[in-house]
Amino acid sequence: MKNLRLKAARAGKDMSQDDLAKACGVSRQTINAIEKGDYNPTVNLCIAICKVLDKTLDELFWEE
Amino acid sequence: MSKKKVITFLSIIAILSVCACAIIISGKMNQSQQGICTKVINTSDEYDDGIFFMPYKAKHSGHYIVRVNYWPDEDPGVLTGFFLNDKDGNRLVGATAQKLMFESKSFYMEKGEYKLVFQIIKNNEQYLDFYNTHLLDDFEFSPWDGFRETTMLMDYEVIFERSPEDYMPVLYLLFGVCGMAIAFILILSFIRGKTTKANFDERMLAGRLASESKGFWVMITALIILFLLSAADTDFHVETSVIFFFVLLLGVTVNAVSSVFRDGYFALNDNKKRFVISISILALGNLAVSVFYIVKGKVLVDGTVTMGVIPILLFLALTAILISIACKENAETRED
Repeated sequence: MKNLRLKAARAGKDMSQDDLAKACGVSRQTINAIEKGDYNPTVNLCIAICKVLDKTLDELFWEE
Repeated sequence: MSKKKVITFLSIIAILSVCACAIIISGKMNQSQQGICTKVINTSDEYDDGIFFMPYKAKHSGHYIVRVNYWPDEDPGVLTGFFLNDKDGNRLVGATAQKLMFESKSFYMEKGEYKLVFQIIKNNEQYLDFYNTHLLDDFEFSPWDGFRETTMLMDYEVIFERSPEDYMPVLYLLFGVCGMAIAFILILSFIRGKTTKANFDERMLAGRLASESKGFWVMITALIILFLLSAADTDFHVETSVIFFFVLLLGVTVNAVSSVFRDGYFALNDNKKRFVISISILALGNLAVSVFYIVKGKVLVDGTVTMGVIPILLFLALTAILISIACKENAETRED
């Protein structure tokens, strides 16, 4: 399932996939795979993304 | 290069040096032997049964050892010695001993015809002495029949079907390995720049793990197929070392290609452009060596694929990696 909330949060911060990847210490392809729903990140990476985007885990990764 | 890397590199060189010295000192230079194909035509009418002649390749020195066995079938006799002469009658090597199996010293042999001269003593006393000293109790034939008071010379014409390959001595090999290790480290340093530690994120590591698993299972499957075909007496017309190298290279290539498609091949701090340039240069180098070997006829010798095919295999493997990188880049560009 696509993670549109992550994509929206990234766009809200005016960051490219590459910028977010560098800030989190991962590859651009990994961010792309998470947004496309091809990869389930570990909690550590989720936390790192949330910190960079100033969001909570629930806001970005919790599925209703 | 970090201190740890330098220590590791020096340790590897030290271990290789110790191994090479141990091999040389312990006189194992000629221990790894392999029989080579020869056609032996008997030009004498007598005693063609029971004599077995086999030149063995002394791998590390590039020379040959001739081994002769004599197992008298019907007529008793003692093989006291043999000489190997070239076509002009010049003696190359000889051995005399009171044993059933003789082994010459290692010497250089080229493709060509040789005269093998056996000396068989058909003397009662000598034979009995030999029999009492060397033969086993359960030896089949009776020593009391068919003695002759003659010394017989038997000429065998030997035609080498294959040219002897020049094997590098151990020290040359050691220097080759060291050279390759240095080249590998330099290429790695060139690709990664000042940082030698490769950084992979969690998804990359998972991709690498899956690729390594795939490469491993491909290698195991290839080995099983190989053993099944060997069990069915399939003649591959390929040197054994080449077959095993191919299996190993296949596993490594599958691992690399799979890794590229799973984003696990390049680390975060890798310079992809430099890597592609380096691999391209290596591929072109192997291509040049391959063409040279093909022109010189070193790939296929007497219908058998030899070690000369290795640069071709390496070229194909490197090309496969380059193509997979290009495909992956193309797919990513389209994705963006």
